Amino acid sequence: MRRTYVTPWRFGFTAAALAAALVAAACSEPPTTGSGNAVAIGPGGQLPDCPLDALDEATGPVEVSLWYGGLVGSTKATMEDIVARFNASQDQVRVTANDQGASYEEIYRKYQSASATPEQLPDLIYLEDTQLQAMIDGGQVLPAQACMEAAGYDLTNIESAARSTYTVGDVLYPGYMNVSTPVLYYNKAHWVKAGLDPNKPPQTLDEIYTQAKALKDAGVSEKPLSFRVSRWFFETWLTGIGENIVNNGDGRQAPATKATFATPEADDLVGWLKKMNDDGLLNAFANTEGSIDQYLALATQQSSMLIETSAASSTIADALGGNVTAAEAGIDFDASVLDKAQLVPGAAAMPGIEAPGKVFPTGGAFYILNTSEPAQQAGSWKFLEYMLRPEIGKIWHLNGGYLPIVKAVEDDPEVQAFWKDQLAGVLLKPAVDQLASADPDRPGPLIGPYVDEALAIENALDAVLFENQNVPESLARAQDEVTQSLERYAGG
Amino acid sequence: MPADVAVDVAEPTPEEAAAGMPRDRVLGAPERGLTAATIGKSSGRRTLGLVGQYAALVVLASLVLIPIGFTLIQALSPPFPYFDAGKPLHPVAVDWKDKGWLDGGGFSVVVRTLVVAFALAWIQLGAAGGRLRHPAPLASPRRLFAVVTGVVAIAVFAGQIWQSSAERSTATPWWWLAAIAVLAATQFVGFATLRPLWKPVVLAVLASVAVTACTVVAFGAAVWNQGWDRGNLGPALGRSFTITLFITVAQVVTSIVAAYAFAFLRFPFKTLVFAFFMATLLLPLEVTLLANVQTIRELGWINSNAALVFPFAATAFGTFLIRQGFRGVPPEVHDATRLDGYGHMGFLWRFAVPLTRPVIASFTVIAALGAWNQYLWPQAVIDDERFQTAQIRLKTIVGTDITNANIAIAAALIVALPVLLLLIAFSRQIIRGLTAGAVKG
Repeated sequence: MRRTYVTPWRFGFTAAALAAALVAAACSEPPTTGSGNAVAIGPGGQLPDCPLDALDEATGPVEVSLWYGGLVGSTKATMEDIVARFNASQDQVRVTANDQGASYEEIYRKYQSASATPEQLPDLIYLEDTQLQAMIDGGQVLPAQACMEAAGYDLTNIESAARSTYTVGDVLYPGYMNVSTPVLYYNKAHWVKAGLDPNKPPQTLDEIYTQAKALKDAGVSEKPLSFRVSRWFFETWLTGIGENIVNNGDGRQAPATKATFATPEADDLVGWLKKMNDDGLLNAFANTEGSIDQYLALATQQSSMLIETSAASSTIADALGGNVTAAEAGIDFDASVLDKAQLVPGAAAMPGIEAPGKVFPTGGAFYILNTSEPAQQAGSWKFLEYMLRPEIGKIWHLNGGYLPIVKAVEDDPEVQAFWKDQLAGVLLKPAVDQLASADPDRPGPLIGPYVDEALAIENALDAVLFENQNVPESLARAQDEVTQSLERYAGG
Repeated sequence: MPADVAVDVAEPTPEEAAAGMPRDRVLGAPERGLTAATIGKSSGRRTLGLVGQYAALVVLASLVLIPIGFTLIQALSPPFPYFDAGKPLHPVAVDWKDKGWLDGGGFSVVVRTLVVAFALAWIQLGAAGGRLRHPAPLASPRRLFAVVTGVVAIAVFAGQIWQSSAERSTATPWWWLAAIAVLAATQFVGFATLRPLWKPVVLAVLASVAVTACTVVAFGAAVWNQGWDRGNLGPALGRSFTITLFITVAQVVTSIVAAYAFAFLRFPFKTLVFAFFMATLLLPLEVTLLANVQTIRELGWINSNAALVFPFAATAFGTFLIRQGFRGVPPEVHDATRLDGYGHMGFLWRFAVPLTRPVIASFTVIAALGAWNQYLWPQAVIDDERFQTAQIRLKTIVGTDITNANIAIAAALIVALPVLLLLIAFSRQIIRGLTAGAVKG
């Protein structure tokens, strides 16, 4: 039974009845086969048709335009590389990829502005996981599951946790996902200097506090934990102990109508952040687009550890690794490496409130748009099918730093070697394990007006950390704001 | 012909042209020192005053240039190796592209040789009192010798500096010194006729240091090529050039014509119309963005030059600025031209425009800068990479790719280069615009 359904404001006959129905639904079936979302899929609960035949009927190569955004550096290069490989691999479909901006916000704005004139939309679009509900409600997505079924693709090839995050009402919407999870990066050199065991990074928030205190007291770093004030980590921690951000099973059983995150558990969590901050152990950075200050804090040794996305592992390896090899930074840490380097990056599972590694998958996803011609829809699926091949998923993992979502990728010898022999691979491995053990029943919140939710929570965290405001009051205010936003979203 | 007279008001007098480089009328003292400002002052005090002025100028110039210098250092320095080694940022690990002057393909060799030759020729010409429009003084054997041997010296020593820097050799500073010394020696030959004697020496050393440093950094560092390639800047710069050209020409022409109407014509509700015109200044792009993008989408202009140029073809700011300039044209001139039989167009293009040339030039620079630096609008109406402008490319390089932050800075400097060239090309016009009317001739 999930905690949300026994929270105080859920009393009253109607609410109780609704909750009982939802609990029944949730307990009787796994989330990937939860109650259907009739709004998006049509009256019969049937998947729409994926017009695969249109591709064979087309004369000449089918032009498919892909919009992507939020991919920079090596991830952008990987995207372009995969498109080039796909175009070279066959002559039925030609994909043209166009970069719409360095952030997920930019491409979503672009999509929104173009969605009123559907003929100007691309055929395939890459958007952040947070836009899932909005995309479904917009009604312009052809669920990739329709194409998977039409093409006979076995979708259980995809990691169940990754699948459940992007599945709503029993339907998997995107056809490929660049999954990442938050992890802890830390400078092993500092652990040695402070007399701590470099192979035992903190696993819980309490351990972060004690180890941060030891690091500060030993004088190795000024503010040991570098932290980007993002709603993502807030959600991850609360989801990790079974708390929901919004009602209706975190928005998974039915569209959320209320925010429910202002709980004593959340107060404790933010209280912990505040205590870290008050004791000079937290190096907090406001969450601004393209901010790199949280990484620089590690580089300049102002901080000793950082909670960030697993997709940053190659950046961390390049930026902080210097001439440290994978073996030197590996599990069996050799103190002699300290003679030649002041920074020895390590990575560990995301420390949790109770236990480490309690995360849900997040990241950009590729959606087929139903606004384009049947041949383009079929061509888009061809490209996604190509990306789902283990040998292509491997490229995303090795070069782009995203986690393998197709199970076969992990068995590839090249991938196994990458985890052992390369610093970026060593840093990425905890995230891979974390994803493999992630609970498919905790897929994270599903919220239509996600931008508002992120803004409200981050404003509350900023208020606590930078303006020294009261924790419960700030969270309660944020919760009201999100509830209002959900009401506006449902009404409009 | 009256039109030519009007134009010549702005042109340099023949004496000034013959005397060579335009003299600094504000700071430099006239040669014989017999002006109102210096009468009654001892020459010692005058020298002291000049030294003070120049010292102040040097300090100010450094204040302006230091940030640019830091930007350059950051562009050359890959940021993270230093952090790991616990060292501050310092450009010692610069990645050098070529190891010799003749490496790197025929095109770059020709371009870099021509650029250095042009720079040396320009310096020699300037010192000899010539200008680009009057290059006659350059045709003296010693100056030609200085240019040719200077290019050879650079070609030989720049390659050595790159080679030894790439090898992290301790000989690198000596190669620098050698390059500067040899180049200075060749330049001294060209300057030698100048008096007093300290002048050619100082000039030769300064020119040598500047040319050597610029050549080595600009043509040797690999970071420029990396920035160029990573951002695929070639087509993007081409696109930016095209739209900047169209926007600037369109804005200047429409502003001149509109300003003429507001300054010289009489028509009903003129003040009201002008007020409406000015009111558009109160609406920033951000306010109208969404609606305008929708219009462009409905017109089907997404991904076209029309979408990038058309919304900026006219501007209230330019109209206002040039109208103010036109109001400075003496009414007598207007009356006289009417008596001479000039119509609206004749008066506008032959008198009003030439007389307000400084204002129009300033506005041209402002318009071109604005068009070049646009980000929000092109980002909104372009979704095909083939139509992206240079500024959008820059954003895609910058992103969060922190390990290569220096490449992003290098690309930004490349994109800023055309702006710099524009300012240099128009500097005379702009300065004249600032001082126009300060002295009655």
